[in-house]
Amino acid sequence: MVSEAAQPTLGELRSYLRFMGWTEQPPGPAGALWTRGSTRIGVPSTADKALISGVLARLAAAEHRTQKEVSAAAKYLLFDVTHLRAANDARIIDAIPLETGVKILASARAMLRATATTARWERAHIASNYSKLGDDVVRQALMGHTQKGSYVIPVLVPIPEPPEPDLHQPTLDHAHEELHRAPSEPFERRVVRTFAQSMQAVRELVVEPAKAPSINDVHELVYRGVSREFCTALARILEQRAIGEFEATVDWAAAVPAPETMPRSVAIEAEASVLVKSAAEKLRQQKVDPSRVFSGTIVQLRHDHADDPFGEIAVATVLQGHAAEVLVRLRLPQYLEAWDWHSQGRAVLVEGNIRRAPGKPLRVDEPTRCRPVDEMMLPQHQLPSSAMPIPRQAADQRQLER
Amino acid sequence: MMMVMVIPHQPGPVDIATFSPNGSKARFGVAYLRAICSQAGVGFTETSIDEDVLAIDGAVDFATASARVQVKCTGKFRIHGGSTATWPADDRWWAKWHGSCVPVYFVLVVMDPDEQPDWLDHRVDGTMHRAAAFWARVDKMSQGASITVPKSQRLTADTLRQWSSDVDACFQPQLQGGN
Repeated sequence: MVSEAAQPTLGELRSYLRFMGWTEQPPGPAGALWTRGSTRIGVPSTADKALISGVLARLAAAEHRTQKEVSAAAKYLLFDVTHLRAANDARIIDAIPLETGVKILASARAMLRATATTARWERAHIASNYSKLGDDVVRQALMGHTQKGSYVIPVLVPIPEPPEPDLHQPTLDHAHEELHRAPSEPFERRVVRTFAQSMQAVRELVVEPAKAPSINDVHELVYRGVSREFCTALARILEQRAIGEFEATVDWAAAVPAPETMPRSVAIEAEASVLVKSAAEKLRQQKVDPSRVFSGTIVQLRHDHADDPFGEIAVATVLQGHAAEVLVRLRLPQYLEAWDWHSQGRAVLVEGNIRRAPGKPLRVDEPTRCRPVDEMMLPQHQLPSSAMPIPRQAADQRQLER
Repeated sequence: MMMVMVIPHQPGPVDIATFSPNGSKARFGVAYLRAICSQAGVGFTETSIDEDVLAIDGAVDFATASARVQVKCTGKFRIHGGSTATWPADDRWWAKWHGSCVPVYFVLVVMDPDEQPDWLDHRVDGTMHRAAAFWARVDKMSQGASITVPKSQRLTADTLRQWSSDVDACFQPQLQGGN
């Protein structure tokens, strides 16, 4: 994946074993036995390269994978790795012009920095108001060894180890027909997701239509985390003569559920640099107020009674720089769809008036939209969720529940 | 005038070897150990040339973890007779063995007879290795000028079960009074 020579550290290996369902037994002088079913593997307590290699070989046999794959999976269990690829030019084989290399690196950092700020607070034009928390994530990011086969620079963003899995999966209790809680998305993941969805949004709303973005498009770009600074940096890469295409491919850290339907890979051709630059200019001119729109992952699904035509989801988001959870009331058919989005790890984009009452959770009672953020459907093309007819199948199901 | 008769040179058999006699013996020792591991269904990984090869020739790969081995092959001893065989040990070897957190075994492969053409005897009913291996655990042995290998510890597939238990014990809480 990133480096062939890389061997996971003992800490990375132990996290991986836990994540893969192995259980650590009481240790002896050399280390501990980790068990899963009838299989046992002795994991050393000291960083002995040969013994770690032996653990990887045994894990590879248990998982029917190659040792190299297991090694990479363990090493990058807690890293979102974005592979930035500059391609399509005869000059790029094993080397890249130094000037181009410097521009790619500086611009890639600028793009990540911009999305780390808009992941905190969406805005069209950052100017110098970068988020401190966002900058902290950028500071922690690493650059892996470059890879062969056109010129690939891996950017590694460390993701904090998630808490122990919630054993209270979909539950029934006296108060609720159905209540499900899930851990919220770590901010570091939100940054990388925002980077990936910004690339996707620029591709689908700017490059593919091949025209300057409309006011509506500009709003949609901003809601997804695109800023003037992101577009300017992207255009700077595309303007390099040695580059025919710039592509970002994300390998999501396995320890945190990945957004399944978001394209893993987005490529933008060099010819699109003019379009991307014009989008940057529009973003500079256009003021966008994102106060009625927010996005994030679904952390709770709740349906109180079988005959209640509404369900409620909680979306973990960031509102103007502050982490927040917003309850969103959805009609049953859309609530059922939200279950699918949640199980696919898809973030949602919600538009509607946020009701704020002292001491009470934030609520959106009548969202004018609630759709997955990786779905580039514009608002004028869809009915407000409150006006959506209930599909026949769901209506029948409700009859049965009665 | 004296007549000189020149006898044309008769070429001997082509030398096919790439190893020296000592190198051949070392390979035979490792191959013999590999054969016993194969019989037991256990892997053997030879130490890569890139790694520090001092005092560890390879690893016997059990299900849970590996034991380490140092193999020496010699024609200086007889398979029958005598209760022990001793082999000189370098100080650096001891440092390496005592620093290992998994068991290290010294394996002495005795070639008897020593002559290379006799190492394998291709009989009608099978092929006989004119060799035997003896072993001693050295990571727990006190340092000395030489290693004493008891002839009672003949290396067979059954020995590997005992080694596997030794390896497992390193990863389990020690019983009171145990090592």
